[in-house]
Amino acid sequence: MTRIFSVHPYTAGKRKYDVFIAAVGFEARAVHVAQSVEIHAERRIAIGFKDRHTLNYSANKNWFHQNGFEYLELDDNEFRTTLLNVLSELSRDTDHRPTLAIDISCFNRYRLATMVDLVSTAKIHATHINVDFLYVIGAFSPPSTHSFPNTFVGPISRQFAGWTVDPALPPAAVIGLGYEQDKALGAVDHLQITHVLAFIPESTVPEYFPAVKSANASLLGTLKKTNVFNYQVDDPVSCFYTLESIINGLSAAYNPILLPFGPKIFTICALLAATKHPNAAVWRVSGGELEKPSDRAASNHIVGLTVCFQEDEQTLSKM
Amino acid sequence: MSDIDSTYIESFNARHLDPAAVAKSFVPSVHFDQLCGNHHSVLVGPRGSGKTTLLKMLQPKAIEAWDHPQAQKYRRKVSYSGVFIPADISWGAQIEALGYGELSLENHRTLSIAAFTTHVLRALIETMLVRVARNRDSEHRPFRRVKLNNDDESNFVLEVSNAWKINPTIPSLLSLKHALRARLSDIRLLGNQGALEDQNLFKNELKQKDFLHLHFIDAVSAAIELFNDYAGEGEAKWALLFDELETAPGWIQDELIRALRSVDEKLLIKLAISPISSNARLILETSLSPAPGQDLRQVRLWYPEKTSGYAFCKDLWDFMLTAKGFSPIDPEKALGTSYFDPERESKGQKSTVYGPSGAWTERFKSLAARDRSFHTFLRIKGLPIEQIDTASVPMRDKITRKVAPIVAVREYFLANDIGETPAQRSRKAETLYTGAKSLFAITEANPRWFIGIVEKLLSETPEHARVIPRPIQAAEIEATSQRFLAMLRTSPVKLSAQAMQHNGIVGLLERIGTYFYRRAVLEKFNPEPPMSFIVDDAVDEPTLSMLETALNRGAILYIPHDESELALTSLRGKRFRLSYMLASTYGLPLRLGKATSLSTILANPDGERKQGTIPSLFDGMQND
Repeated sequence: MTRIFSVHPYTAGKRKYDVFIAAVGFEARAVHVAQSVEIHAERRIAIGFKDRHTLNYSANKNWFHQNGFEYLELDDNEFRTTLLNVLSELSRDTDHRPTLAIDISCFNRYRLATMVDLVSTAKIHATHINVDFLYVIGAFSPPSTHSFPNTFVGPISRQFAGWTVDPALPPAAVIGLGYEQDKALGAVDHLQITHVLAFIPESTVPEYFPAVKSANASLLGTLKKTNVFNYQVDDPVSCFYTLESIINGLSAAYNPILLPFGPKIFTICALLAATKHPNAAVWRVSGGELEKPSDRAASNHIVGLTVCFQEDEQTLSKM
Repeated sequence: MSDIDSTYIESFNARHLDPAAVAKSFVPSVHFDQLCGNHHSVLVGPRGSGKTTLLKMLQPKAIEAWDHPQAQKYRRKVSYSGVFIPADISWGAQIEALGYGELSLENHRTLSIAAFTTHVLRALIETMLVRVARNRDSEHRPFRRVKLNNDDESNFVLEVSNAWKINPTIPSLLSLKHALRARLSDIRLLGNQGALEDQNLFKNELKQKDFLHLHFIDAVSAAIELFNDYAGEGEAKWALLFDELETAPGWIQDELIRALRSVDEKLLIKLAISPISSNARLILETSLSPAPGQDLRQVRLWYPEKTSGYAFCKDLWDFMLTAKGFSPIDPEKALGTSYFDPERESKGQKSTVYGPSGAWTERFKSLAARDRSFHTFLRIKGLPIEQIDTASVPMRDKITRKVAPIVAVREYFLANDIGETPAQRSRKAETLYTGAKSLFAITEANPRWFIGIVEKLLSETPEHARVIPRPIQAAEIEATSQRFLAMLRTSPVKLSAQAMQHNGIVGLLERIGTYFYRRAVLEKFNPEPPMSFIVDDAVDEPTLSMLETALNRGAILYIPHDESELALTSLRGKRFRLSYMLASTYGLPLRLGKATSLSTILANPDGERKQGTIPSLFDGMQND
């Protein structure tokens, strides 16, 4: 089953949800959305990780606990099963249209991929699911001066490995840049990609922009100006449509690979765009355990994306 | 961001260029000569060594488009139709992910092999389409074109479709190609559906589908026999050209290597692999005991001795000048002579360089004035510095040739200090590594590096200047080596305590480079300091794993003792040197030098990193 979807700007305001899901991470910003946005949900779940209980993890966990959230400590496999159960419980009949709010700020990229995959493909009774993806931009802190090697480069999840019907086509990379030193360049080199398009985030936290350009100077220096785009972090709808359009354009001559570094709202846009184009893959690059955890405070700027999923067949019959 | 039309990343990687575009800038090397014969081949080389270009040049479309003085010679030599089968990491990952990890091993394998076979068959049809194309580009010389009338094409497609269990919409090669494309789509669909089924039931379901059980060699053999018959070519040969063998699933790699023993005399297999390969042992065994009537040759795409690559670099240099419309100029005239190579461009000048006030004599004097150990060395060798101007030419030659590269780095880096342990000069290796032969050595005759650097140098220098200033050369070499290091720094490594201890591949290379620098520059003068290493038994597995990546990326080069063992299963017991691309980073001479054990290097505290903090184990992955 594949659901089609439409994306809309998220508008803040009093809203009722069936479920609100947040991540218990080690960053200070993990509780910010839950603290700042008035979210009325019948069920509130705070999902933690089984390891790296460092920095603000315990404080965040306590806060969620004290504020009526169920706390679940899950590994990535359990996360998938749990989310599927949550969706199934919400859709015991076809008439109900589940609504979810998900604070993606502190989920890892695998879990983001799992969310997008399940809401767009899970076999559940509900024909419609509405999801608000919320994200708080981190307050600027300088990038780590410690360089570390990558221990993982591969599809973000098996569901997003993509599938080409023409393996002879060259890959093209669509990269959302972050401010980790040369990480994107390393990914491009690893995949031996010759056609690269780069997205640079611009946001209400202006310090990021020069930091991202500086960390990626080696890569940007090799790209044509026409292959570099700036996007607004607070306008994920435009970002999604731009990505979707670019993948569409690339697909005739390339096998697109999306590499979402930087703000996680870009990752959601990339995953949604790849959902519309099964030939496109979404990859992640990670230093895994070699990456030193660093704290990130919230910036007070919350952005969001509303996505309405619905079953394909129904839509087709309405057309 | 760059304003130039073609960028570094886009220009110098042939992997995704059209065969005609590859041919446009192709300069033949001794490797092409070794590869193109009528035999099975295994091309062994690191990234950028030209594996893809060489394989692509064996396709009819590339040979037709190739305009080079030697092209005709090779048109005669290539007596088969080359079928290039591309592969890349992302496609390998797609096959791996087929069925989302829910398929049984057996069912996943069935579908993976079917996907691979479909890909090979499609590539074969692409080549056949080129061979039967009726349009003739007047600029191209036809190569192995055949005439197939509509009836013959139709009959061929019907017969081959029957053998391949496929139903093209109409009996044409083009329709067959599209049907194969649709088959790949069907395979994915099957994988997705199978992920939701009981695997035993799904296995039975797959058994019923004949098209999933074709063997690519049998399917290809059947098609080329039919094609040869319809084209009236009888026993004409074909070659399957497999690039990036490592990116295919393991069992497909095994199948391909076994295919090297193919008894079908109409079919040749040419594979490209990296220097370290899990299949190396099988390749070696096949190479040493080929099937009757078959010949397997391994082609080494790197140059352990720097001088072996000079001729190819010179050819590339000449070609690039011509392609830019520049008039020819000797590279040593344009780039200057190398600090490391005491030879001159003409014998007539030789006496000048070693003679009184010659460049090398002055360099020797300069170093001897600051370096007591060198001063002593010369005296022991019977060539006191005070007598260097009056010594016989043979005597000067004998000593200067041997120690010139070491003198070059010591003279450049050592401060004005006559003490036992001379201090380092705070100098960047600005122009030390410039000059034609240094540039040749630093690029390792690796086409991607050479073209990348020279393209930039030529674009930054007006033709009328005729000379490329050394600072410009130095800047470009520095930029290329830093870019290389940046890529190595983010190369994936297996998670281990050693990966953290060394801080990844670059940290490990830095330890090795720092050790060599100390031996060559900072310690007492040694005419033959260690500049290569042997991976001994004491080296742990995680470090070996990082070295394997370094080898496949071209950061270290294998110095083979036995040319029949070019692809390696293990690095243990083998000798390596650092790539000369890293020489300027660590301040090393461009020479092979003696070997020392790697564990000796790693045990030496001098090479330990002095900066950066090592993160604690098992910290931090929530935000990856």
